[in-house]
Amino acid sequence: MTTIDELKEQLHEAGGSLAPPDLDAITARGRRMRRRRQVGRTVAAVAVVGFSGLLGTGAVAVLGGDTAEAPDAGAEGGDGFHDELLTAAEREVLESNPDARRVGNSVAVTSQVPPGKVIERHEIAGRAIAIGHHYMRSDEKGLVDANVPDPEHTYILEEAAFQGDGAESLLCGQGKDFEDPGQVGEDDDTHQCMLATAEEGPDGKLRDNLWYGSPSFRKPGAEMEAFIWPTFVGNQPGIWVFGGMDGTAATRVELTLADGSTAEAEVYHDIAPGDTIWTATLVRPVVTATAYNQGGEVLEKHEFEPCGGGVDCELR
Amino acid sequence: MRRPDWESDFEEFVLAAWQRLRRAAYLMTGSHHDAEDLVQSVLAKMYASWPRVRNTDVYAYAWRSLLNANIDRSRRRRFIEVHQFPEVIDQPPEPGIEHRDQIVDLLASLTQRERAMVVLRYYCDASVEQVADHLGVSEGTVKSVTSRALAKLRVQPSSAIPEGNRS
Repeated sequence: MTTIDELKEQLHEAGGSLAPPDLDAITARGRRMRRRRQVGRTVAAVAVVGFSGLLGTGAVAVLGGDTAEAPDAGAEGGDGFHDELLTAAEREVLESNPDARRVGNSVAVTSQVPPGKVIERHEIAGRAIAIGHHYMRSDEKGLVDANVPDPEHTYILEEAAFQGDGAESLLCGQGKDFEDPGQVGEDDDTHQCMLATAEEGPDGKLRDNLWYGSPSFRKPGAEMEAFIWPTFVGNQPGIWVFGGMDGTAATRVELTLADGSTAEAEVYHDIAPGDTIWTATLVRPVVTATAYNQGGEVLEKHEFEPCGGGVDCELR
Repeated sequence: MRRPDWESDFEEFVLAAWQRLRRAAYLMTGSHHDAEDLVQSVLAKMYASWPRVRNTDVYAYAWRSLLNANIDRSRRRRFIEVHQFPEVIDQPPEPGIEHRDQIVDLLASLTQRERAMVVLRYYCDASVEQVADHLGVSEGTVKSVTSRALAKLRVQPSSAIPEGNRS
């Protein structure tokens, strides 16, 4: 048993001597945020996304649309996530445990993943849309669709949480079970919904899968929350991009890709009722996303932040 | 590029607040890398709003932003059913990369809210009233949660805590 004074002493000594702040990095990051806000302020609140992914070149496949020319597959880092964001422990697990698998910027040991919790209907804010999202894994053959069984490899993913051939869905989960007891202060939004994906099990029920961001995007005037996630388009690696915006003013979201071409996202107003969710599946990096209202006016234009260098690669 | 008139004012604030924010972030996240990114992110947001923020209690604003940013960070990294990996604080030490303190390992046994309260109360020397204000909870909640946290940390809750303002 220690005393309060000893606790305080340990707290003050933790971490040792710290390096001074990188003022250039802070102000550069702040300027980028400032520019984005100024763009957004000129009209209304909506949002967009971008991607500095390392996928090769190829054509665009929007959710529900056609897949065209395929990208280069299997390039290292082609999942759009950066190895430097994995901790040493995660890297070690990934290399040594055949059940380990890269999931975004984290690693999951699949045999330890319990079946997902069933999401009850009352916990879904609006409509859950099927997205057909596929996971990726990486092995000596390069990037592989983790949802497709491969008898040549021992670490086929058959874990309960991700199994089945049912489609994945995008939904807005809400309710007591999704409250964060640590949520504090002005962002107290525990009864709002969070964007999530869920897997449809053999019984037709949706089970918890991945959760993204926070409910903050639903606040009036809030900046959009937008995400990029690795997936497969046909049998080629691609990205799944989606975002949440407050209000329903946005009727169109146009994505500009690295080669200057554009793609339309699917826009939904009934996933998070009263707000806008958009989604697209692409095989090329995205650099900007622009939201338009019904009159064709730009509501907001956003340039993607590069992934890496300490930048969170999930939320852009 | 011409610097805004207020930029030197902002930089002065960063230099003054950095050490404290940075160490508090480390205590809350258990990772130097996450702490660095968290505080940079908070300060960048403050930069973006500095002409407005500078007229408020900038230190209180920074603390509140840090607490909320930490919550958002943990949410973004979370996989609901795979808690053991996204929570960096639960991971073993990384020799050669990041030295972890014993106190950080102890703090890992606390909930996010308990950690925040312990850091605010005993690292930042914030009063019960100030902690309650920052976290948007009642003073009674601060007392009960802090007491529970101290019990988990096996700390005698007997010492008097200075009620002075933290910077």
